[in-house]
Amino acid sequence: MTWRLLVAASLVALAFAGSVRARAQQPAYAASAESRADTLLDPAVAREIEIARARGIPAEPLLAKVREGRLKRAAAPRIRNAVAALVTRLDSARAALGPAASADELVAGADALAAGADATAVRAVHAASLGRSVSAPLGALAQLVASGVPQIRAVALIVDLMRRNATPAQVVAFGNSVESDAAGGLPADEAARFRWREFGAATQPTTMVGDANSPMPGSLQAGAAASSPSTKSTKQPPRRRP
Amino acid sequence: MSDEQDEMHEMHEMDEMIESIAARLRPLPRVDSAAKARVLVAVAAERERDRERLARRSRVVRWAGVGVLAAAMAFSAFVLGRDRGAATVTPTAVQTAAAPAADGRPGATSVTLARDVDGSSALQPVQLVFRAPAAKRVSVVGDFTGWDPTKAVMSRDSGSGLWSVSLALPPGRHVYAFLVDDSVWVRDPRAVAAPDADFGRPGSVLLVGRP
Repeated sequence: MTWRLLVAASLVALAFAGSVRARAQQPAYAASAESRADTLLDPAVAREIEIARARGIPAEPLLAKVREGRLKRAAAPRIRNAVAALVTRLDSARAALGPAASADELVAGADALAAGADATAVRAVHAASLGRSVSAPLGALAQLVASGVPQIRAVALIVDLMRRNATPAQVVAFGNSVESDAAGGLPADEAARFRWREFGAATQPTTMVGDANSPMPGSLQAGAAASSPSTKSTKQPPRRRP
Repeated sequence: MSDEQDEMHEMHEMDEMIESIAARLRPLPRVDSAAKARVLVAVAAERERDRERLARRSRVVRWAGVGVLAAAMAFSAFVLGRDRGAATVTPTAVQTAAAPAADGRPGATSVTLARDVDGSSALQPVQLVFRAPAAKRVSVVGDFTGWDPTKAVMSRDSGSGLWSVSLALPPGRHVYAFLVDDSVWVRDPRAVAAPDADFGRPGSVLLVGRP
């Protein structure tokens, strides 16, 4: 008899727990649906995007940020903050790259800034581009800095690749390799130098990093010259972190 | 001296011959990327079926074990006059039935096809595969779709719980995730996580264009 009572009590408890859980979920779904509607009609976000567009900032990355926030079920204020932060980064990128920068370059510049690079680094990469697109070099800069390569070294290596007339695909491969090595546990700085040597073995620089004609700003140039890796060094793979 | 020169000359000729043969053999025949994608999905589906068979077998064994255990406990409860045995067995059985894939990892995988471009910045084919047997709709969302869930809808492989999509992506670093039934965000657990400072929900990193 007690056994039956126990089973019945368990069933009642399960049913109760289920209903409580279902009730607990309802406000969450309602809140998310509400935040979606908020964001869609959020006048603050719409105004922010409109003002940015009027200044020449591309709207698509901002709309993509709104979509990303909605997919991640972020609350409307958080989406507004993320969009405002992206507008700030895109503005800084445009200030560093000039008014002629393409939307892709602005996005790459904003990504580099988000990864921890500063405007000086973005300007240095732009100055070394000699009119070529800087989307790939800035993407690689973001990867290197986010992986832990010191910014001054990251700029020096990327500028050097650009001077060796590396193709965008080669620069992308360089950034991907360093990020992949660092994610696999290699010290990022060593991985970057190793990959740079790998590339350098096949090409010769047109000018040396850190020379008097370098378009890099003084502070970066000095650091780049000090940290410029030599092509004489042997191709030893970097040691893994213990 | 003359013999040595002849020998050197022969070796030089041999090198040239080997080099010309190697040059002919080096380029691989072109493979249809759609066919490659189909083969990869079929292989993944077959692996999935093996995994499910193993899981089913282990479930049967576990259920049998649970049954024997329950019988033993019921018998001992009956004999000893205790009545706690049945309540202990039920949750164990529920946990066993709800166990995930046999390898202990949530079911998602991604496959990147080999590049078929010669180092240029052209789009490169990438195939993503995701396991979600109970899903009604799965799409890939990422920076490459502008986070639009309608741009890369995955198709279900008949006979398995796998969903796949083939994409052409520009080289670089991409962040993506799977969106299940238009609402559930699932990052690919087999890829490196991409931290998200803005919203705190990490995605996965996809590196396209590695040497």
